[in-house]
Amino acid sequence: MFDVARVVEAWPLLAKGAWVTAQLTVAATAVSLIVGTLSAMLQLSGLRAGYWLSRVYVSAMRGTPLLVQLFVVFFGLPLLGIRGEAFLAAVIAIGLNSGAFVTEILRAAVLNVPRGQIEAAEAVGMSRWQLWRRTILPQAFVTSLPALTNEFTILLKATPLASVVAVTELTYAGQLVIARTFEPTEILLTVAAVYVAFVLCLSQVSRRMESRFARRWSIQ
Amino acid sequence: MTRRVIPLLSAAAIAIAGVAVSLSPPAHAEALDDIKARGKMLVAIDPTFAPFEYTDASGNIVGFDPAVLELVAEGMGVEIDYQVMGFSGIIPGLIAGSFDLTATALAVRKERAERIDFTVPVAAGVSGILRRGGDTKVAGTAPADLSGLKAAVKATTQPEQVLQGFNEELEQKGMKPIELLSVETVEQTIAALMAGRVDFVADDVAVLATVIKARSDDLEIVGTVGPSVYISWGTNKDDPALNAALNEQIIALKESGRLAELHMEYFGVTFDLPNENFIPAE
Repeated sequence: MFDVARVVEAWPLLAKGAWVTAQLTVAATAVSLIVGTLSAMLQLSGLRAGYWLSRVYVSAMRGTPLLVQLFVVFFGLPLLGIRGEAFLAAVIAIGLNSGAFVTEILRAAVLNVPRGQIEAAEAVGMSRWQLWRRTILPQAFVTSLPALTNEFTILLKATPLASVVAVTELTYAGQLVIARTFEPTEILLTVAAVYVAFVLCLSQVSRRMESRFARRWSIQ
Repeated sequence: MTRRVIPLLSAAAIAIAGVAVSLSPPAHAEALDDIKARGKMLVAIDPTFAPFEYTDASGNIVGFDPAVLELVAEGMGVEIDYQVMGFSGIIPGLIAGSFDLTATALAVRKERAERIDFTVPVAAGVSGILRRGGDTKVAGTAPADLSGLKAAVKATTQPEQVLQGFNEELEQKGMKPIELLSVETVEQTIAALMAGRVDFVADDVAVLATVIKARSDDLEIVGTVGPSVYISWGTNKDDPALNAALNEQIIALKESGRLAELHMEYFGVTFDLPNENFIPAE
């Protein structure tokens, strides 16, 4: 029933798609982490404008479908004179979308950093920036690692949407093969297996980081 | 310092994004001059539609439209830069100016002609009904024959529109409508048919014939439905010069008989195609 020859024949195209999916996931995760961290800091910084900027960003991103956001970014870029940059558009849209969820994950973690530690940091004369960098953010990242990993597995599985804005990632690469052979079973199962492998990698990395952090700060 | 820079930067980024989205497209330089300067045209295509456009085993984009486009590009003295994307992004992208043109097979329709410019037709097509071999439940191609059945179609395509028209007719007669399952690709319509989720598939007959050839399953075409439509490529309404340049090449291919040869090669028939007044009145 499962004809391996079909997978072997399709593999070069699927591998190319898998590589695009991997790059897209890593790049969008980076954007998401950076934007999410800045947005969480803004929201908790005590700056009124920063607070509202972050709130508006989170509401806009959580309140609209990712597909719509992809279209807005992809069709918005030509207005800035940037054309044919499908990958860039997908990274921006997926990264900004996920960044809103990262904002909320980190916000919860930051609020859980014990008040006493912040007071202690202030007492030893840390500036606001040092307080964030040395005391609050490291702890917030460690405690939110499982939730962040969850978020980034969701991000990985949102990447097929990028095919409508001209990114030939893994799922669309599979569709291109199937559109020629009209034999979906082997290709779809292979595509699914690659996603599983990617998610396993992601959770492995996360577990490693967790245990490293646990040793370093002897939490638990 | 850093504390102040970060909010400022974020505010600037969001403001720029906002302006970009709210602006209407500026009157951009004529696409044809752009293409000539670059030596390349950016062409959107959804290669999941054999024999019109598909990918071969090594990932090259092949089929009828790419074959014609190669000759057209050669005539214009430029190269082709394909932007491969799902069908649902193509017309919006064309309107937004994300690429120069699309060479994906588009059925010429009045509503589409209001938003984009069509080139002169490169082919013609008609929708057909495909059923599982010997499945007499799908008895014919009249609306009454299909009443109450389930059909799979590609979303936002000509066959979907034909069946929606059938449903209006059936409703007026007080008969059960056709239940439509709209999916993204031809292959998904066939998968739905083989899995028994639908009773028939409606798509271009040339495409259905390719499916039957490619698959070992027992499938058959019952007949054709709806009007025959012209197949064209699309350009942005702001680029009349590009449209004219493409038309000039296509018409030359028609006159030299080269286009008819490609029709025979990919479809096994030739089409009689007009060079003007090809937009349907409705």
